Amino acid sequence: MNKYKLHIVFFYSTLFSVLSSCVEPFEAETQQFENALVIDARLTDEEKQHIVLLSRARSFEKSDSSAEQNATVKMIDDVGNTYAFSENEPGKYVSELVFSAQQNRSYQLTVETSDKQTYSSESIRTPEVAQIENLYVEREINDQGAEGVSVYLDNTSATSKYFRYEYEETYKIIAPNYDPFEFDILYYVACDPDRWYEVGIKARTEQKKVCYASKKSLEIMQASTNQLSSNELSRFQVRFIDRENYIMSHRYSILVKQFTQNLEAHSYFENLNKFSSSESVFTDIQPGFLAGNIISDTNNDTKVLGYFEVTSVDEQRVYFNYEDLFPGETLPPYAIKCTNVGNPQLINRGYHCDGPFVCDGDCDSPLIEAILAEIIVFSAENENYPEDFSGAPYLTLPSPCGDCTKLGSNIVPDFWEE
Amino acid sequence: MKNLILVLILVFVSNWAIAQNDTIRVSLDYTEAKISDVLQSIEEQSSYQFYYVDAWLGDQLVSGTYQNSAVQQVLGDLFESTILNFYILDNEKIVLTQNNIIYDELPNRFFESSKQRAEQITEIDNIGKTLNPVFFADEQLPRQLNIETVRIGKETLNDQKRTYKLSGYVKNAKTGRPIPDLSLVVKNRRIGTVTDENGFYEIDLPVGENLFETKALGIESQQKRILIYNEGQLDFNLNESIEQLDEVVVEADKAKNVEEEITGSTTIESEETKDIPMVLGERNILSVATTLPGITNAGEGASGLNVRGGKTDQNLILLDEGVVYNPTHFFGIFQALNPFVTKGVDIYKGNVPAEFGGRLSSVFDITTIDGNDEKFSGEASIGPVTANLMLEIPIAKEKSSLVIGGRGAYSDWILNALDDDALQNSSASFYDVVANYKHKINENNQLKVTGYYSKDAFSITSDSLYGYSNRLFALNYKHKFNERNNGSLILTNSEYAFGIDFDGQANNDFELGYSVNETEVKLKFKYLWNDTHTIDYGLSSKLYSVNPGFIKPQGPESIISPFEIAEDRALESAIFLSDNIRIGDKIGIEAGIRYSFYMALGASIQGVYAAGQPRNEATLVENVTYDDGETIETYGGPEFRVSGRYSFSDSFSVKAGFNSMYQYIHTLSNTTTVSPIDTWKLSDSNIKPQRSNQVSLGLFKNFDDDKYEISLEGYYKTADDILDFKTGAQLLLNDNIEQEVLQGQGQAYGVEFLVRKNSGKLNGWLGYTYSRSLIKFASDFSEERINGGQYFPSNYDKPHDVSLVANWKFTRRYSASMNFSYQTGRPVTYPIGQYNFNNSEYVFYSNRNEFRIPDYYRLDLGINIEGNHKIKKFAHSFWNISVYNVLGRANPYSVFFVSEGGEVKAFKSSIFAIPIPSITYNFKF
Repeated sequence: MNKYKLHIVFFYSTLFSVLSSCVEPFEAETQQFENALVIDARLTDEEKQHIVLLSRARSFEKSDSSAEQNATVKMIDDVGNTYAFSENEPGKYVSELVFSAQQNRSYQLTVETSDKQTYSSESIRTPEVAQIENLYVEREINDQGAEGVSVYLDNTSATSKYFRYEYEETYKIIAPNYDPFEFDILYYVACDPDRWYEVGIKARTEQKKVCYASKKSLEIMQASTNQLSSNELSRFQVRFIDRENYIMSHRYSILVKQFTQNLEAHSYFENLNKFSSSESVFTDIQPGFLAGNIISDTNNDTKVLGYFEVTSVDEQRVYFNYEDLFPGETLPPYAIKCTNVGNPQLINRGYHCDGPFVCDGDCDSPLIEAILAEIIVFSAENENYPEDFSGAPYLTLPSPCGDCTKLGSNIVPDFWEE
Repeated sequence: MKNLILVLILVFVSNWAIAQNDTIRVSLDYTEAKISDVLQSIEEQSSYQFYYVDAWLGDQLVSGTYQNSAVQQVLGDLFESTILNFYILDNEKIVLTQNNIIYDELPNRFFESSKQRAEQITEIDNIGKTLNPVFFADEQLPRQLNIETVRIGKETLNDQKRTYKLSGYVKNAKTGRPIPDLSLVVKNRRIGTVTDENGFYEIDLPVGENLFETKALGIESQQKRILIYNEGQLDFNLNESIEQLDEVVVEADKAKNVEEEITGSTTIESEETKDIPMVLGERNILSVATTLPGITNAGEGASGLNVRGGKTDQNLILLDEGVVYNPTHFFGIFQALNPFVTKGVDIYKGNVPAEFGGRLSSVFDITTIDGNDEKFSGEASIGPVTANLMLEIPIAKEKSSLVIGGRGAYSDWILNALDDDALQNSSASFYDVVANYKHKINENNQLKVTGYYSKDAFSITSDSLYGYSNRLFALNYKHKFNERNNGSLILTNSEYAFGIDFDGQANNDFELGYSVNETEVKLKFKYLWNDTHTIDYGLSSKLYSVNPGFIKPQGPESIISPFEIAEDRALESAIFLSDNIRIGDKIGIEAGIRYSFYMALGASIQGVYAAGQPRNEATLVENVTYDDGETIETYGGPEFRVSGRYSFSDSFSVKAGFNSMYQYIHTLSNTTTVSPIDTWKLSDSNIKPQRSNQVSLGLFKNFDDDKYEISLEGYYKTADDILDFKTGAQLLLNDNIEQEVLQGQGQAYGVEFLVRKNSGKLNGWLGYTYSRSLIKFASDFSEERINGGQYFPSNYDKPHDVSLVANWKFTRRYSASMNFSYQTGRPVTYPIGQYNFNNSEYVFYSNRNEFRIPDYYRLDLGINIEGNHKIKKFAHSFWNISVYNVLGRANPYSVFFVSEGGEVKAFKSSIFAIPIPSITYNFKF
């Protein structure tokens, strides 16, 4: 159902681009600010130490939120069990015990801040468990006409109707221009008039050819079976990877987490998403204060941001190789262009020394500065390198072309299966 | 007869026997005697018997002495100063006639057709001795019951002329002052004259019957049948006139603004708007309306008009009396009305005539043209967006005609021509067709049938198709019962629908739809009681049927479950009565009352909510089921439509009005502007009708022979139970919509100033409005409150609004036009901070509409070139070259915040950020 809204956005953007509209970013200024408490709390049915994050809203001019410290955080269930939380990092409150949200139980969150303001959530019942039945990938041309791979999900659910999804994708990166040799700076004392700088090459000691990178979903993704003939989702598209996207060049894995929600939580996240996605560009949905399920006990009019989500979680992972879906086909282009071979000067043109302390020009070595900044990697020796040190001794490439650690980590994740 | 003066009448009788057969002589002596007494004396002296009507003789006193005079002589003298003639029949009977003569021989060619005779009469040389009798019994003039017949002068046998001079004075009946510059027209003769500064006139009238009519602005027009027999005098005492509203509208009387009783009304003729530069050269009467004070919209690209601080759903837009739910194409950028077929629009934003009702803010009464019933003609245009063709086809000469108009956009190729992959699969198109048939059955019966259909369809990707459409049918049968009574029977049906077809890769293909349909029967009558009262009355009844939404799976694969919200039905009826009263020439009152009555009908399931609790899922007590046709809830009440005018002079008046309205159907929209997928919802047991009251006061002054109009109007309006929605409400396919609806109060006030120049080389208008529009949603429960229950500005509250529309005619063929507008930026809800939640940044909002986007201004220029006026040319052409937004100002339309990749980004958008040139070619044939 959300799909049609999405298309309206497309329509409007199309129409208005035709009609020469313009959408331009601007630096937002705070007109009026309210220092509201933000409660980011989630209790799942996983046996673990749960986390509650407390912070304060900030103005547009500030880049970081201030943590809300020294608060008393508790979760209380409907049979009187209290789970205390303690602050182990500023603003990060971790439950002292390992516990999980139980079926047929309700939980309430209470927070007392250091200024003696108390906040409490509604008592929220754990939604029923629903399983991800199947997570699978298909090569296809999507509704927008782009070719790629869709990640689909089917689930089974008895009564639950509302789901929120998060994913973490992990993919193997192979540096296309990996070279077993790397630069070795033999001598570099900037502006030393007595000795020319020297750069050599040496065998790599660390594996930088194959890496793994992970990314978490940042957008709110939800599904509901409200319009469907059963409570089970089928072919719900979690992710679409364009075939031009390098992340699926070799082996790709996605872990999808399904959070079963109740209607209130679903509406809250849906509205949060509505107010903060480009959907509101032209349809211009009337925004307003989005009340969550936590209120201030001290003052009814105090705004509280955030939500206390009680949820049942299920997760599933799927892997695929590019070769499986695109056998024999060319790989997607790499993350960056690796055809621009560079040849930085060892010594800046114009830098010359007529004697000790009589040097003129910029003495920084373009080659060595780039190596130190880790923006280039060794590609080949320059065969046309003149003897007088005035040229470029090596041909170079942007570092991600030969060093995958620029895009990921060379440590194989624990879960990774080949 | 009462003041009878006793007169001694000495009668000397001598019985002279006269040989000649026709000379009976009498002797009489009378002073200050009444004619009847003289006649009696003659009867006593002779064998004559007089035949006459007593009233003809009047109170005139006569004197005379006759010795043995012939009766003919006596009578000749006696009647000389009167308009009486006599005829002696068989020496016994004397027949008196008023004005005319009894002829004892028929004139030549009497038995030829009267038409020929009429011609012949006018050909007769007035010096000639030919008999020139006046016949009127079979003249070709319509006998109108209320036209007084006046006989002037006495027909004489000797001095028979073709024309006689009629003169007299025209005076104001009330003040006794002479009325200058009043035209007196002889309708059947095509002659006329004008009174001078003393109110004196002189005209040569052809003998016989003349249908005389007085005409002057602000003066009641009077008709008299004048039978002229000789020179004479006729004075007129005239009252100040009452222009009946419908006449005013049709004739666009130039002094209308001063003379009309109702406040806050405007007329726009479609033809007049052709010079005003518009987006992409598309004539748009609704956009032109926004240049007038009191009418605005939320911005470019926002369909829907806000009239005097009212919501966009509070306008009743009628096309030949049928309701058009969405009169725009392309999301409000173009009008969905064919400009060639549209005659014009009467806009009522203050006092609304009692015959209209059902929407709070305004009535846009749009009429289509009446086709040319004499010859085939048409009009066509080609512009950058649309092509348009209109044909007027006579069916029966001077009796019936057909108008057909079709208009379509060919914008698809624009989308495809753009070198942008994202747009390759897009298409957007629209069209509208309109036709009307007018049939004049006879003098008293007339029929007009109108059909209209407009459709917008657009698809962005290969998998979705959106569409919305308006359909309308209207039948208007007019009957004239007599000179004073006429009536109309109006039958209309209209439907607005939208739908979405989704056909994508996943198995969730669906079809979604919505429609609202209404059928109305209306009977209205007009009774021209007398010069003081004109009464309009009637009744109407409207049946609504709304399909609030359905979703259906498309294709066998689809897992979408079919869902449909049950149809809503309701009956809205009204009786209305209004009296236009003119008391003298100074005071005019339009007093109207409308009683509207609404019944929400089953079958339906209505939620009942716990009293004193916010309405939500938790407080739903039960669902009550109503059977088909069962009354769920009734609403209704009187609506007062009263306004009055006091004229200080012919060109200066003050008007005041009070207007109250009910509205039973509402749009559900949680966007700040209007979108085509907004649905309409009928009032039911949980959603009450909206009500409003408005008082207005205006000063109206015309200068320089009505060349300039100046008006200053103020209003104050309150509204109750207007709708708004909870933050983030889901409105489509929601069968418990009442849980999302908030009903609150509105308040709007403003001052509107308009200067208008209607003729001359330079014409146009300048309008300035200061207005506020505030709304309030208070409740005991925070979830049903907005902005803490305090009044706050509505989305379209734009305090300052200036519009200048000007047209300069260089020559007959070339003219330039401009349109400038300035408005205060509209209120927006701006975030009050940002925060981190669930690994992402978000902004949060507080009170609604506390900030404003920057002010809006725009200048459009256009050049219009009329083709040359060669008579033999096949078509008359008209070029329009215009540039919209010449200054290229990127007027902000909205400000929004997006969380992208975990970060908040702020954007502002504008719709027409650069100058948009266009060229349109029109031709008439």
